[in-house]
Amino acid sequence: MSTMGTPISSFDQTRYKRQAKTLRFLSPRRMRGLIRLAVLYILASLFLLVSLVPVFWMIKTSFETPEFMRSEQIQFWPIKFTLENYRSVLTNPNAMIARSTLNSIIVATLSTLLNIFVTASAAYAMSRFEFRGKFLFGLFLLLFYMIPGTLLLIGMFVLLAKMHLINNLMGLVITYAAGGIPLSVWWLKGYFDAIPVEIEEQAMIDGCNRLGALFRVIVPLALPGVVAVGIFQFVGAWNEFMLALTIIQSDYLQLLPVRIINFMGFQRVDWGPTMAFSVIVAIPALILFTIVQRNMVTGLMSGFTK
Amino acid sequence: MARKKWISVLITMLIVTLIAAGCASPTPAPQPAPQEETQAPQQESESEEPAVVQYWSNGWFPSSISGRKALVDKFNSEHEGQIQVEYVQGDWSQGDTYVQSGVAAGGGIACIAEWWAGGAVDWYRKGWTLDLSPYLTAERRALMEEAQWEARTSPDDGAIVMNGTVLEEPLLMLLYNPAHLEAAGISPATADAPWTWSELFENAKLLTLDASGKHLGEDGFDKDNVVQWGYVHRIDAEKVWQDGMLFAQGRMGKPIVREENGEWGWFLDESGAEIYETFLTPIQEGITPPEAIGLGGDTLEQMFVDGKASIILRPAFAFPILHDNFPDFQFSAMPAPFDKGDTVYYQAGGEGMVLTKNCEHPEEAAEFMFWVMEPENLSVYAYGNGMLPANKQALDVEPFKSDTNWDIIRSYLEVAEIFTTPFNPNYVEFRDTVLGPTLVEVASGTLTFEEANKVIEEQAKLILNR
Amino acid sequence: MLKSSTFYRVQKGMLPYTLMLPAVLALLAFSIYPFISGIWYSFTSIGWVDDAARFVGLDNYKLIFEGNVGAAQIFKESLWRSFYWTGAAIGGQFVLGLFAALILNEKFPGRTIFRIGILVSIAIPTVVLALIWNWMYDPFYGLINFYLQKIGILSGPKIWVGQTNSPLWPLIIVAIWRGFPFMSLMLLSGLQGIPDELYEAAKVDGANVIDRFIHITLPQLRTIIIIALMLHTLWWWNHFDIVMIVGSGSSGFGYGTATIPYLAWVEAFRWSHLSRGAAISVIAMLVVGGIIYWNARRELRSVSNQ
Repeated sequence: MSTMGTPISSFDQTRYKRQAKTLRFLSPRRMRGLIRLAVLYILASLFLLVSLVPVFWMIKTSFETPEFMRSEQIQFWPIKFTLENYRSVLTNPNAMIARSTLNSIIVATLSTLLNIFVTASAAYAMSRFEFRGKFLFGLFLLLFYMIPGTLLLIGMFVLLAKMHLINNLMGLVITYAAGGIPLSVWWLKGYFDAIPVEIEEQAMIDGCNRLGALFRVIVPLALPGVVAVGIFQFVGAWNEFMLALTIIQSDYLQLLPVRIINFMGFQRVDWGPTMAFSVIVAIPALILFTIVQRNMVTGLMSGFTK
Repeated sequence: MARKKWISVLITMLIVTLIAAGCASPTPAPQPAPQEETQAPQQESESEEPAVVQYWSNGWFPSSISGRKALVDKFNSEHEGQIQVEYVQGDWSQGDTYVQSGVAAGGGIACIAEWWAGGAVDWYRKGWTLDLSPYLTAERRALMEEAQWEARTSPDDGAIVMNGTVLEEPLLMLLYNPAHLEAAGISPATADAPWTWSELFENAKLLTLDASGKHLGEDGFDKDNVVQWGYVHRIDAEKVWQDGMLFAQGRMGKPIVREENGEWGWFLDESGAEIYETFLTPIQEGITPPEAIGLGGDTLEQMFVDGKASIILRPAFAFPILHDNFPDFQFSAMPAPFDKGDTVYYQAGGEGMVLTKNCEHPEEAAEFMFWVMEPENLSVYAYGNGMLPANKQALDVEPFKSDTNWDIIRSYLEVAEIFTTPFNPNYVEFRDTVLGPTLVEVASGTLTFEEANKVIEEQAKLILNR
Repeated sequence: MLKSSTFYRVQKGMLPYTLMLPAVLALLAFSIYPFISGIWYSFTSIGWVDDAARFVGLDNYKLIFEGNVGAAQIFKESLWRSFYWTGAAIGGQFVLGLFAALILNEKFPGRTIFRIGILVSIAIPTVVLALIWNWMYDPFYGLINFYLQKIGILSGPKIWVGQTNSPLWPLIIVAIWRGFPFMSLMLLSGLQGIPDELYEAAKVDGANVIDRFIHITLPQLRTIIIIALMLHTLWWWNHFDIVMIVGSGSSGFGYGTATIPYLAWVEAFRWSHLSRGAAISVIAMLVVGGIIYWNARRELRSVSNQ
């Protein structure tokens, strides 16, 4: 459409403008921005890959048939998709999945509830009052983490034996509930600190006594935090291994992590069913975690920075 | 109000879980209930409920597990309504932890647990298990030879700590790849004409081939490019002492770890030392790969099946394992090296079942334990396990009877003599922390055998006399 | 100011103590008492729960320190391994965690997905993780051998874990994989607290990316880094699950890669020497306590110097 020889026509003007626009689009700043984005995406994807490959592999293997387990035949995606592994592990009497899951649920729930009831009140007191021994208590909470788990386990084991709570789910409940106190108190205190005292004062001016203020005002506000801490404790109890392994050896009472290790067996591990078992064990924690993860980040850090 | 809803949800959860805990915690029907004190054995009640006895087994490969489970089923069908045995899968690495938790809890574990002779004596002396003598009638005692009962007796009070299921000796044999031997023109050893150690090493050199097919000792042999190793055996801390000790004691005729003049120690005489040393030197001979240090049995078997090892030294339970995992692989067995003129000795001991302390039905448990020792039952157990039955009569029964691989061991038993080892409570610690690691150093060449022997002797005096 | 009634004052007097009571009692009974009795047991001869506990003074400590064979050899090797394990694991976690945090701190579309993906591995039970890695390390069925053989680095199946002569670094890789998401979580929240104006000002002054990182990011993150490192040191020094499960491989006891916590547990509950396990744990506590104390003092001194 353009004619040669004529001075700059309207078309040439548009072409110029288009070129100028493209040049601006591809300006050094934009290029840097695009390169930055590309680099970020590549690096982030690398991290994502590293984080997720084992998880993906576990899930994939759980759906695979045995002949693809051997090195030469490893595939990225199950060629023969099968639910056989799940079926086998759910019906295998050795696996005792239903029983172990029930045990895990009982222990995790009870210990969490016990823990929250005990620590919520303590955290409230730490947050709102000054009293003798407060500093000491706080110090102990921090120092508690230096005690090696094995030392506590040895002392706890003998104590539980005297109380006839070895090979008993309650023994584990008590251990988890007590062991989680420091972290819970610390964390909940952070949450309570974040609720301004003025709200309580306002409620008391409005005529409530202290306890009333506690229930009507604090509880609803702190509930999200309490739930987050509770879920954290629950997941911790669900995943815990060393104490569960030592304190409960009766096959009927074993928790899931111990069960899965015993199921794995010694010689010639059956990876398909084992991975299926792993997926089943990992699911509750995964679900709970995704619910609470945003909360956890802010809450955890507020506890630390205070 | 939202608040009330939350609180009621929490309270409901609490109540539900408490109820579930109440139903679940006190453990199902009879056996694993935590008890306050040990109770005197009760008379069999007149109820129609069969007594349930849990049996914690440490079978660890498919045949051994299926053998035991088949036996449990057989027992249950024969004792329907009276005694029911429940199979619980256990693990060698968990034995101590399992049984001592039962002691700490006052119950909650199986009545019957499987273990090995020395360990069983140790458990008894710690008060973790019960004496079987009350249940040992003369008839039952006749199921096994006296030397084996002796190995299962506590030195303090003469209590019988364990029954007899399988023996751990004499069990080693050479498994070979017939194709490899044929290609090298070697005829295998037979039960009447076993190889000596030097013959084994010589033949192994002929079987160690490099990529071009040349064997060790031939001109142009490329030692960095070996594709087939002539002979491999386990040289990890777990087995290096055990297998070597088997051969050394087999020659000495008496235990190396024993008490002399009131003091315990490691007494290895010259004949024993010679064979121990030979046993630790195949890497130096070039017939075994250096990576063999630390190799477990399953890797050894994999090498064998892959054609990378022509001859391996394995216990007889490799038969069922190889059949389970590699049913298409052809192999044969020949006797372990045996220097002519030696008498072969083997140590009394082996494995069995113990009666745990807080068992609620000890008599019924004993019933099962001794029922297992009868020839037609024990053969199922031992064959599945790939080990010698503690009751020799079981060897004459199917499935042992028609399996020719077991003929080699049968001929051993005809000429071999048995000896017993005294019990020392610190033996396991000495074995795991001194003997094993030191001998591994010898095998990898960082220590000579003389130096190692000196260290072992010193430590033995210290540890075993504590 | 609050209206104070006598009722309120009395309430205030007793209330904090009442609120604290359950937590304090629980801690006394189930944390302090086992701790003290654990230390006590290290000075006795107790082997298992019903065993006699005669006082033997420093015998257990002498046993694990004197000489170079037997129990002493295993203990000393484990001690060195614990240092190696903790140092390498924390180092790797810090580097990877910082990298990941920096990337996730940048604003780019879809970064929430990346964040969740990277953090997902926190929720997986350590036991399941250990099993997955066990499988990946398996010589015949494992992913790692498969790829290394495919690329040609390996010529045959290689045994990574489980044998008595297996190295420790494959386990350390698992630990780094396990720990870096949490580290990045902490560092990320620290990064998000750095005001943008600092960066803007630096850019105006002509600082490039690296300068900005060294002179702004790191100093601002200092407290968080110290806290994160201390916490992770405590956690990983006392870590048990990975060393036990992956260290044992699919057919072994894992004594060749034993670190202190695993050794203490084995001594106490497998070899039936509760006193020795306690002694080993006490040593572990003193070592890590010393490290933390020394670092904390240095931090406090530098803070008061600023």
